[in-house]
Amino acid sequence: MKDYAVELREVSYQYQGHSQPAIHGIDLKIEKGSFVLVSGASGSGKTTLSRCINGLVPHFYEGTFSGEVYLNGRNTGDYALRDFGTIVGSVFQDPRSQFFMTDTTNEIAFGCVNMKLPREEVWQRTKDSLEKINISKLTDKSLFQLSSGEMQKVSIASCYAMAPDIYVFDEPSANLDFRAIMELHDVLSELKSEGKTVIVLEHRVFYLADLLDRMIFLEDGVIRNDFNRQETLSLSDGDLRQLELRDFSLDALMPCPRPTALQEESRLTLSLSHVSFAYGRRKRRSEAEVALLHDVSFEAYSGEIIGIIGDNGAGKTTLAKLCCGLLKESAGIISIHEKQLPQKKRLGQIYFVMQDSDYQLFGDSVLNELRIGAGNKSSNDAENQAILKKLSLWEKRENHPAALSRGQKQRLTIAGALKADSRVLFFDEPTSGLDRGNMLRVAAELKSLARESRVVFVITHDYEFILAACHRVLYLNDGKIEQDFPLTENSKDTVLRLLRKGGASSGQD
Amino acid sequence: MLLLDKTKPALDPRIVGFVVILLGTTAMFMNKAMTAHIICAVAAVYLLAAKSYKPLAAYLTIYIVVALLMANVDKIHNTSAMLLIVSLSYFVQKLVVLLMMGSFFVRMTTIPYVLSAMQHMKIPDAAAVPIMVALRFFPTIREDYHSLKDSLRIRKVSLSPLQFIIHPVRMVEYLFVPILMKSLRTSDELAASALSRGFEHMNEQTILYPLKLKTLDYLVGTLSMLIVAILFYLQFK
Repeated sequence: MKDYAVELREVSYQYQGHSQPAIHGIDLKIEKGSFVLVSGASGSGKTTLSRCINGLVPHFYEGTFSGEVYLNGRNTGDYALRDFGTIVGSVFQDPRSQFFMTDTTNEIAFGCVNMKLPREEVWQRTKDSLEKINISKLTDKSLFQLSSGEMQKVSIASCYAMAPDIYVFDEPSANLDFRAIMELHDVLSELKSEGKTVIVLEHRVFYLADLLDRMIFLEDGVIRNDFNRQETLSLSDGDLRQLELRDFSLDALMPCPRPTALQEESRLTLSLSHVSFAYGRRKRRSEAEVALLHDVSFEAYSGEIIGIIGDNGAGKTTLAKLCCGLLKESAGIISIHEKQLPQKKRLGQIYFVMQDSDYQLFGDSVLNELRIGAGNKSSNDAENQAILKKLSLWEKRENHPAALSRGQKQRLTIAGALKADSRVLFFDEPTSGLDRGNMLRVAAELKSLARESRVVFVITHDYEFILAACHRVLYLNDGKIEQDFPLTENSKDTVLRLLRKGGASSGQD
Repeated sequence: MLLLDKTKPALDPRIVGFVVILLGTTAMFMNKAMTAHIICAVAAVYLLAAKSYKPLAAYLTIYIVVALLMANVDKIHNTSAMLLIVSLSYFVQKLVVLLMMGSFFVRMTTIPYVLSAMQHMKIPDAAAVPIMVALRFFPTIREDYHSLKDSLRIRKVSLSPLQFIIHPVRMVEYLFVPILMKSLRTSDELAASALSRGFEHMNEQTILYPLKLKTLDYLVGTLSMLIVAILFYLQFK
């Protein structure tokens, strides 16, 4: 009998407290050394499937498990969780919540330390993994100062040091910028060339096109399709849409059809004139990470959706925070409707929707969320109702914000902006980790916000999203706006090129 | 704390911990002016030896100012001001020693060696794991706090100290609940990540930074105990 790297027989799993099984009757054989993409919409059971392979189901999460899991031909029924680590390396979605130590070297050694290997071997393996994953320059660095992409590589190296044959990646690109995704691609490619079995759960698939051998599509907890490489890459756009998958090739994508010329009623909403940001005389520690801005000028008209792209440290977030009144400009003028607004006056008028909604929701219910803040003169219930209905949150008005889905949380944050009657909104990475359907939903929401005579800015690395939503692109480099152009079929390649190259000068090193 | 330096520390972290706890506790019992001055001086010498000059200067200044006030307290005729100075001095005398020893600990140890010391001492997981997790979480809380502060400012909720006095409950709700919720989620993911890398018991791990007590360690330990014995004699004779 042939040994498979992974073999699942009739595997079903239902989390405690859930009414539906997350996965149901899964039969799956994965050959040694193959590269498998597992796709499916959010909630289709991808993550649960991966947890069956790395042992977190049934050993960590509580629920009802049935079926058998074989790894390298061995039944894992009597394995303890710690036995899985040397067979399966697991890399999870958010690199920031994966590290257990405070510095890179000890983090990479962590797995080997748990295996109780002799000290010299631990150091040797740590050194080797740093080299293999190509991050020797990160040796002995504090983990708190790394970018998401670097953290991701450290967690891969930490698994690598334990020398497993199988790797499971759960949406590894979700928190990475474009360049970091390309570097992740190189690491995956290295693992593949070493003959490791690699299983990747992903929505954004463009970087996997040249690596994958097979694609499994999950829906409602069962395997709906099992495509080989040829079949996967020849899927039509319509097929991909049905599979909730993002595109395999970015080059052929076209921007969504939209009126490029501004509508007649559109008016000058936000204008920045020679705006700079520098530290004051007292540079606070909390500001140490803030990038600088030099002489930024642009005008934005109502109805526009403007994508802001650029490398980490180019000043994208600084620009957003400055406009929102969270930072004070050291020079220049920021005005709305041609009226100059000082820092304090901008708060609320220009709204910032952060990437992590958990930081922006403070109420004990959806409805009460809108009653927070001194700006809301008495709570006008009719107005609140209208806002919540518009964002289809009215049904959830009694729920606690923490119990909402990610998309709902994001909409609730937008509700705060509508309540404050903000004319300008900045979004920070609103689509990281979203499948195609949810990404398009966010694009539609931004469009409807812009249509009501607002300006929407989006800081993003997501090319597919830029094409789906933006009218115009600002490219920031080194604190300056280097390019500012309308997004058309002709300029889309420029966007892709700018995203790919990142900045020539990486600011954070 | 020196995070990354893996050069062997001059003193064994176990001895550093012992000295810190010993002197810190002793300071609590020193109620006479002379014994309090001596223990502060001893702590200052330790800090000086550790080349931690800035905290040394700061704490010593505070101590001396309060000690001078205390020495001249009989010249003040306002009873409540007197009471204030006496209680302040009582409090500050002990606090300064604790802070000095805290700085001494931070200066003399590094995280990898502190963890190693815990392994050597076979501290049970119930105590060791929370310490590890805390070391990892503390730096992120500052970041969380700043993000929360920003989003509250956009909502026009002021975060001035005054607000904490007027609406303490609301401030707790706005700041601590989100940090707690986020930490809960992170700790769940953290646990999954650590367990899937084979983490089970700290005492069954490889000790990456072996420790062995040296002459200097014994010397510092003995000297500290001797000083403490003398101080207790002076205090309670």
